[in-house]
Amino acid sequence: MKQLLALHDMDNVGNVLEDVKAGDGVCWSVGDSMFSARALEDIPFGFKMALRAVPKGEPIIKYGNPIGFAERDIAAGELVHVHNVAGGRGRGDLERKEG
Amino acid sequence: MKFLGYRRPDGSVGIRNHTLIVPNGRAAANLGVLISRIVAGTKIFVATNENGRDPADRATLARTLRGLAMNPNVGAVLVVGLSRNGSHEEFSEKNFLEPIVATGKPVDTVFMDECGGFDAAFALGVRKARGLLIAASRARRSEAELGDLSVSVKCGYSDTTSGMAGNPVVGKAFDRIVAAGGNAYFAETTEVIGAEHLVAARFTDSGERAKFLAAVARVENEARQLGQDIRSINPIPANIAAGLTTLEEKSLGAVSKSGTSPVRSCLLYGERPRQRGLHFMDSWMSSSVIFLGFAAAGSVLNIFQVGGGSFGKGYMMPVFNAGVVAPVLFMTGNPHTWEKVRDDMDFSAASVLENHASIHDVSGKLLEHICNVASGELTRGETFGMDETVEVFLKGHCF
Repeated sequence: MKQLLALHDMDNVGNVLEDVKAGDGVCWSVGDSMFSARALEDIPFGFKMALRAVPKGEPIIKYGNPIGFAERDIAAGELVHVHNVAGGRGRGDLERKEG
Repeated sequence: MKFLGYRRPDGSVGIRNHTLIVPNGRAAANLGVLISRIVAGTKIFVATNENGRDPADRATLARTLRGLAMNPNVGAVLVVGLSRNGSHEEFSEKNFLEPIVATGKPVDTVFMDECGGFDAAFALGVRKARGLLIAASRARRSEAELGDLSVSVKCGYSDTTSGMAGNPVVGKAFDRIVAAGGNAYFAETTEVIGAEHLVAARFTDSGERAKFLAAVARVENEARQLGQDIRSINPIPANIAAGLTTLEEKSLGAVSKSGTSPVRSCLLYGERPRQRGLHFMDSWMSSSVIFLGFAAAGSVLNIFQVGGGSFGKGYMMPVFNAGVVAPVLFMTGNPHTWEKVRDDMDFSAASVLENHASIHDVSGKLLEHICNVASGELTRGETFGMDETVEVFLKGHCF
């Protein structure tokens, strides 16, 4: 089992603490409970894995706070990064499109 | 926990003992530089020109130069100028020189108009600087408490280890310094966007909280007016390459470096706080400006908390002595960074992720290292003895 750190019990993503290969089992703890999931793709050290499914448009939660939004449906075990997550703050690009 | 520091007449405690030459405006900078070259061991910071700047930026330049002179790491000061009152009100005797003299440390002056021009001013300046260097060298280290420290932190080359290990370790160490009566500073206004509610809730004064929230709103509005996703600017490419996805994620990890203490004030760049405790400084995040601003505000030791997930082996740090009179201590919470740039790193907090060491225990080790450096142990950056180019954070237009 590869190790992952989930920082807050509300989080739907966590950071893997070693390089993870597709198919590896990944485990983490929340309080006294242990959880695990299978990585669906390679996830490098320090990068984020989805701990549960996040539908498109739903917030990505880390540190118990929103860090952005899923740009498409994300499955548990997927790599979570700039390819499937958009930031919610400082989005001058969106205002220009709307304006 | 104790250390050996230089107790100054105003009660502040320094960890280094520099003699600083301070020009009261850019026009006198070359006089200061020439004196500094002759009198080895003196330091000088040359700021950009104050002429053609708006009053707020002139005030920032004056505050930065004056603040460096008032820093507890400075044992003696030579102020040089064309005239006693500088070129603008911000550099006048009352606004610039008098607060430096009020620290009670040895201060002397050389003004060209009072001694008959450059040649005489240069000769007199060399003579006075040599005397000040000897006066400063008479200071002796004596025992000081953790609460006598004023320390500051910037996180850089952030990756996801920054928020998991390195930053919380600094935050816990700062909590202990602040609880003991010390000063601590954090900054980087862009990098609280997405976490500002957590910091705002810790302000003890509603006026200071309003200043903080206004600063964050200003930075976000400036970014939005560019018509771009702020992700094209911050997180920087090195952050994204190391796994940080959004500015909010970076910010939530970044603010943990401030610990959990109440925040007393929202300072201007280089502004000295009116009371001891934890302070936020409204500043650009660049390492080539921020440590100078911290030093001007009174910090005696800068911590550069590095993620470094995108580093190649043997990368060089972007700054070594950017605090001019206040050293920079490099640390990381990323075990790979510690291995890759070991020669530039002063402290590792990587055991948090490698061995499940507690944030509390590792922060205790960091405090021990801080006390060693405060007592005289050199940082890796100090070994280069390099006076690199650093900049004052200015916001206005040039005319």
